[in-house]
Amino acid sequence: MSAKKILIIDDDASVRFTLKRILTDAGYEVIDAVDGKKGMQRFDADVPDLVITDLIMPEQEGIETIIALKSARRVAPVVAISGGGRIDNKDLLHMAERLGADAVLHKPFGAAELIKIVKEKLAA
Amino acid sequence: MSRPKDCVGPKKKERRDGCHARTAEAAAPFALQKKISSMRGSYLRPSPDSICLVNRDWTINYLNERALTDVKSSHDAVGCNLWERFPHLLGTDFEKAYRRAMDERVSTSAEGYYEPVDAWFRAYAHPLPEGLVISFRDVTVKRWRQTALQESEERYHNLFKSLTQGVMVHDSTGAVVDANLAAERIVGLSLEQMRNLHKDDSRQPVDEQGAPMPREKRPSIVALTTGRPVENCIMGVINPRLGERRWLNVHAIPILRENETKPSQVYALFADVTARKQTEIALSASEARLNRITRNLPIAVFERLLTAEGKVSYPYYNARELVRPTDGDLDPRDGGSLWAQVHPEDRKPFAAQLRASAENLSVLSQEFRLVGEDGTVRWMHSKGVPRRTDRGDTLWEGFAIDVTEQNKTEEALRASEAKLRRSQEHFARAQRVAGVGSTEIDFRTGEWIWSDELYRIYGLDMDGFHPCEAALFEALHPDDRDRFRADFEGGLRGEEVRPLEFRIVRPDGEIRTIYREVEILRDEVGQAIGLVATQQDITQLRRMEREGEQLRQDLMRVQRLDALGRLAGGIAHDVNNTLVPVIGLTETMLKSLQPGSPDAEALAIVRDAGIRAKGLVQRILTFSRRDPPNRERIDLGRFLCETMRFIRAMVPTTIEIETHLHPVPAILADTAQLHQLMINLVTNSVDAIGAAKGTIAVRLSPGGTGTLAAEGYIWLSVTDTGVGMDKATLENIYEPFFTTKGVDEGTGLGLSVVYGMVCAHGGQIDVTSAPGNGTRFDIFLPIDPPNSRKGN
Repeated sequence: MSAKKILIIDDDASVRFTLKRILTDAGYEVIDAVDGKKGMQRFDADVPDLVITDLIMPEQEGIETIIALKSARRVAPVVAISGGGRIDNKDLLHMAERLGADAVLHKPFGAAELIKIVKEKLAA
Repeated sequence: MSRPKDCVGPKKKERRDGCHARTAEAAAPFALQKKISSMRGSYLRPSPDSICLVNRDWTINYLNERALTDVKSSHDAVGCNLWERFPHLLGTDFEKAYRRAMDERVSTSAEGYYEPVDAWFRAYAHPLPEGLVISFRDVTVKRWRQTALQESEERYHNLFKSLTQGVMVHDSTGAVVDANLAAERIVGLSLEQMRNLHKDDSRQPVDEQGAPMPREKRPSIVALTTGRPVENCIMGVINPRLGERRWLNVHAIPILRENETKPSQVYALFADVTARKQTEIALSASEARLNRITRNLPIAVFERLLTAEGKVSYPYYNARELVRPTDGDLDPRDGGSLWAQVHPEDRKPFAAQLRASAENLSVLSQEFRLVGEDGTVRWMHSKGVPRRTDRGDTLWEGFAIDVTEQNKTEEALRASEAKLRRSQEHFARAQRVAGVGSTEIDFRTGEWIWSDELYRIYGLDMDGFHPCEAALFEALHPDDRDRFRADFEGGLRGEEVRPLEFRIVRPDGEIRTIYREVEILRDEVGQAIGLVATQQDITQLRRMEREGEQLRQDLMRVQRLDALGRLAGGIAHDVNNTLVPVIGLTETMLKSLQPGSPDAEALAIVRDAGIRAKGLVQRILTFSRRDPPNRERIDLGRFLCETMRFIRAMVPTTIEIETHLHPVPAILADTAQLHQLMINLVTNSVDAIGAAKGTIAVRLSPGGTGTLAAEGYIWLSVTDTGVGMDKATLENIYEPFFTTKGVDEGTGLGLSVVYGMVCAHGGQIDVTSAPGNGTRFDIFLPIDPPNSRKGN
């Protein structure tokens, strides 16, 4: 059984690095993208088993990414992560959940918390 | 003729009275008889006197008939001892006189009352060799006459002396011989000076007109020369004692003796009429002045006579320039001279009024028109008081005045009054609309006038209130009186007064805010004569301003907090991203390190710091409402019951916690946030109370009396008895990182978080506090309508 492939979409390199390290350590294959647009290309190219996406990014917002993934009837579960709204007080994570994100995580989160969620969603 | 009678008298007596004859014979020696006979012409001659002869031994020798009658004795007294027979003589002057005559042989006399006959006698005693001859006469009548005369003289003399009128008696030469006290007083001369008056020409009197009065014109001299009385002659003399002229009204009465044609004396009677004379002079001057004045006045003063035959005349009329009345017939139909000047329309009423006044003797008051020769019409007003003369005519005394100008003025005045009234009404309306009242104070009269609107502003009744200083100060708010007085007293002194805002208390207790401006009124020389003050009721304006200011401040606070929230949210986002590797990587690396090694411990500290930072960001997010409440339908009462049990354990025992939880409708709320909210509020209260004893009260009730209406909200309040907060603190309490606590004691986020939570729940929070008076937070949260249950 080959390792599950996880796509991380986040514009913050330190976040990508941290998540990659945690998930690689946990035995996952990790690919990443710096924004939603590139994330979608990566998704189409590599077909990951799970997507972890930030919500606020310069090129394509996470919300759009989620909508795009879900509307394309992609089957991979999506975990939305966010450090909170920057521009307005819209509850982005809540919105993401409603739009079809399978799980949401408030930044910052611990490694154990992340792995637990990823395991749950991959098993589902 | 009478002597023979006397001679036969005793004989007759002898015949009639035997005793007497005998006694006479026995007691009258011849020698005595002879002596008596020889005394002819002296004592025994026929005389109205009574005669008595007495011997040396006082034996009565003889009594004539007259004596017998006078002393009511009988002839048997002859031969008797005088003293025994007439014992009433003893002790009288008679006895003394008789005895002296007898003893000293001199003639004596005495007068006295003799009681037995109730009469007065005058007696003479002459010694004779044989004894005494006593003659006496009844002088009762004479004496009475004398007394009466004396009294009369005294009375007249007294009258003369005490007359208030002056009396001078002149002799036939015109010289003064006597004068009474009044005369001395009036002319200011002594009797002696008056006696010498005719020698002194310097005291020449004057006549009524003040011209010198020559001697021959003086009343006493006129009376002397003509022999006829002079009456009511006015003359002036200088009274040297007073040093002024006195006016006398003199009557001179010549005294003519019988059968004489030239008076022997003149009585001059005079009274001091100076006062009357002066009055007359003044009256005459006054009359002259009155005439002068009335002649030049536009008032005609008249006497109008109406005879029974209907003839009108004007016995007196002063101002002929004004109107020239002519006499004529009252009947206006004859168009006679009387009516020539009266306006044709006014003639009939004029005549009718005159007749009515004459009939009833009622005061005549008329207004009529006169038409001048040039056709000008003048209005006259006339008044007259009628009376009936002895002849049965009617006489009016009255006046007429030209009122043409006055009528014109009145017309103008009426128009002006109407205009003024309209303007006053307009003014009152304008004051009412503007809510501006006014006061006017007249310094000269002390009068205060309030406009109607001012009464309304002060809530006072115009009838029951008299505006004055005391009443004004009574209406002022007690806290504003001193401030008002300082200005007001300056104003009363005429100093300029700055605008002032003050409060009044209406009789019903309502407080109104007034804005007042004052203008000092001055006369032409700049003297302050009064002031006008406008007073505007700005209560509503000030209330709106206060509310507006409150709104503005609230808005500013909301905006400020919102901006802070955005800022905090933005920071939180970045910090959260930053914290991802801090927490995530340290955890990952910790796994690969030996537990307990120095590197592992250091990394654990980094991780914990990251987690603390995460908590901090979480609270900022809560305040900035970026962190949505996880709402559920709860019973806040039950929730508070449990929460307060938990909180009680955190609070020192010196602080009492009271809970007053009334049943309230369910609300939608995040219990975790509410829990935090209660902890934050109670923590603040505990810090405010400090080490002292105190109370924290938590109240819950449906609806409140605060800004939000009761309906649709529940009211949660947390009250403490702590130190309270000042205004500056109150304005900042919700701002993040604002704290009054020490650096290590608080984050300054507690109330910011509470504020954020309440807002996130769609509620509102109010705070009431003052230094030393504790603090109360009122939180209003919307209830969850029953029909909204499905949506959640």
